[in-house]
Amino acid sequence: MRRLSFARHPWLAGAMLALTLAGAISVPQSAWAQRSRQSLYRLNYAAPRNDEVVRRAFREVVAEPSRSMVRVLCDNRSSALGVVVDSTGYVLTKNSQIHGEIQCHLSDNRRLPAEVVAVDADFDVTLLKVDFGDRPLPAIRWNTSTQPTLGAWLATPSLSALPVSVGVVSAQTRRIQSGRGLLGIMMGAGEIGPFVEKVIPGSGAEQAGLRVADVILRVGERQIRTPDALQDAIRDFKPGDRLTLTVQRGDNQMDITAVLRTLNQIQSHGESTVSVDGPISERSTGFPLAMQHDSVLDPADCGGVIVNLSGEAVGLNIARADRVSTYAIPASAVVPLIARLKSGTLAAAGS
Amino acid sequence: MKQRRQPDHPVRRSLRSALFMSCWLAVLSCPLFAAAQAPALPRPAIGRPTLQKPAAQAPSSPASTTNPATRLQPPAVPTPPAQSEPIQPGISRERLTAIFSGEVPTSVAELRAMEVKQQALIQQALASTVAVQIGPAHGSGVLVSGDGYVLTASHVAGEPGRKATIVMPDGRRVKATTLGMNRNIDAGVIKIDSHPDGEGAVWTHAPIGQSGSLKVGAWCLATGHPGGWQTDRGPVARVGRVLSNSDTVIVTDCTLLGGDSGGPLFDMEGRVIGIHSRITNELTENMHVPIDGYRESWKRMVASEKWGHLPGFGPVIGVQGDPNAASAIVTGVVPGSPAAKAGIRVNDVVVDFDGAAVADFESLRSQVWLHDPGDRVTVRLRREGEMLEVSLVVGRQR
Repeated sequence: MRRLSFARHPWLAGAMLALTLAGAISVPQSAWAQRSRQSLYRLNYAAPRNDEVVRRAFREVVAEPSRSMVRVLCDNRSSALGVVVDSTGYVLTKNSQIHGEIQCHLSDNRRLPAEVVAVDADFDVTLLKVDFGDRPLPAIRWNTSTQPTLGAWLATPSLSALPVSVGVVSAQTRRIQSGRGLLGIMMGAGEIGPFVEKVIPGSGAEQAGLRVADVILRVGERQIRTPDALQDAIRDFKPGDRLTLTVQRGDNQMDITAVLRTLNQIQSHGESTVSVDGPISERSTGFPLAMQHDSVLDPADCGGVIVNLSGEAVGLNIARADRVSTYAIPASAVVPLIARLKSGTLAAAGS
Repeated sequence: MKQRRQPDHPVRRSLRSALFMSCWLAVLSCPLFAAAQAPALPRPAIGRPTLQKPAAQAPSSPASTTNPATRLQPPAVPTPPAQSEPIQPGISRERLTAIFSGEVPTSVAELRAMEVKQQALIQQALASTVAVQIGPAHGSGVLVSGDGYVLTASHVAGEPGRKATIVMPDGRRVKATTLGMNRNIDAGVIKIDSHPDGEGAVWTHAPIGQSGSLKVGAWCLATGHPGGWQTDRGPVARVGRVLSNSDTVIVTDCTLLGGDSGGPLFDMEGRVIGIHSRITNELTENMHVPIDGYRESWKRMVASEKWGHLPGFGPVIGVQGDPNAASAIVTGVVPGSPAAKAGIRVNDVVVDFDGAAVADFESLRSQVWLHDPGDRVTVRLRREGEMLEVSLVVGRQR
């Protein structure tokens, strides 16, 4: 994992020097940053790029695509955006955001139940089926022939009149390597299996409620006897994946579901560490192909499309990865994917 | 002014190790602080870039490549845009210039006009954006002369005279050496040792602009290597606006990350107007060293001088005094400060700080400023007619 430490380490301990030092000596925030902020508000201050005054210029750009957008709710909470890819009722969205009872809030204000029909784990997308009844929604219009170049405007439509975010293509389209998923425990070798010695703050283990002295018996269906075996089992998963752990706690056995996070996600979730990234997606690495843009996007606004200035979908927002990066699957990869997901469904239904 | 070399102190050592751990250079050793305003004399300047304030001269031709010294002078303002620049139907060149210098676009046609310019500009900007590797530290930089001067941040360069590797946009690696730095604004300079294509070969480089005249709301372009050089990715571009501007810092919403430090901020004519320095937790608070600061510090920096302290990292000892008093009499001691720990009290008169005579509070202040946080110093005091000596460790601004 040379790459991980190489690429991620510089900003883990603080992207700016001041933060690095502040973190190292336990000062909550550097005097430098505070002073800069104070002076900043005394000065004349312009509206940022993502301010409504700028996004208004994109109103016409998103007018058509926004009718194809849906808000995906999981257990009644907004989890992702989704996009209608077939007016008969197929919606594409970000897979790792989806769990529990699924509903789609549509651009015509209906709220309809949805179910998962197919998943592509590599690209982290889910195809949902929604029954539009006698009021079909328009399918999104893709542009697969013209890949936007560096500096091209991109807008992320939602269900409203203005895009939720605007930005530009900022780096070469490429494969995004998978980060290393960590459970976030230190473990010791016990008689019946590895036991938890320490739970790392900000980790999925902490969020799931793993405790010191819990003994891990199984990952999914896989029996675990040693710390090495647990490491091996975890290696098969990616950051953002959910693991079901069977745990012995005192006299009780229980199943616990924990999300794997990357080292930087653990750091940014930990309360003691200053986060410079803002909210990032649970699954933000390991995509076969992604276009990088600089739109600031809430993780719950991923799963929908990005459009060019002609209002054509040129990609599907798949992750908010860090302070500078949002990833989108290029339209040229999304369109064949939709076909595969649909055909997979038909095959499954026919068998 | 003398250069101080302090024995390694535990505090400094731990700070430095923290920095190395995070792939940043330590910046806290060997201050060379020059209080004099007169810049050091430049060395004989053959092919040496001169970053001077623009005189009332005619704009230099961007096509002239024979004399780097002339090319590095910022063009007179405003630079006439290239005649080949495409403008969207219905959008005048004047309107596009007005948007880029501080207004907001109001239509898709205006967005298209911006887009065409952005796309062209990024290609140009990336050609001069480099990655900088100095030991374990990774940062960015920008080539500003054909003979290989690279602007970066002082906290990336670290020290004058260090060996550095510059990674060109095409992945080619060349050797370089750090020159001087003005830490008061986080400005640093690196010089590429020699051109691998032989003497006379010229690096692709960016023109220098001006930061003082930048209006808030002006659009800008940031390039750099967040997370360090990545072969399959290359440099990363971001487009944003100048949100505030002062003599010491430009704030934009071009998001930056570690590894971007030292990279360039361009105006929408492709001129370097700032160098990436630091961020806060707010995504709209990304800070850049104003390019005018490089121009003002240029002669001393190319002479490998190092001076000042990064904002927020200046040295303090924790005493208050009366600037109008005839002596450096202490009127207050900050609880828990280095002075308090050393037993300095109100009404003590400081007469000597680390071997330098102190006449009044202002001279005490300037003596303290010559040190780095972590330095151990001896202070001589007069207390009720008696002379005494205390030892203290210089602290850091909070």
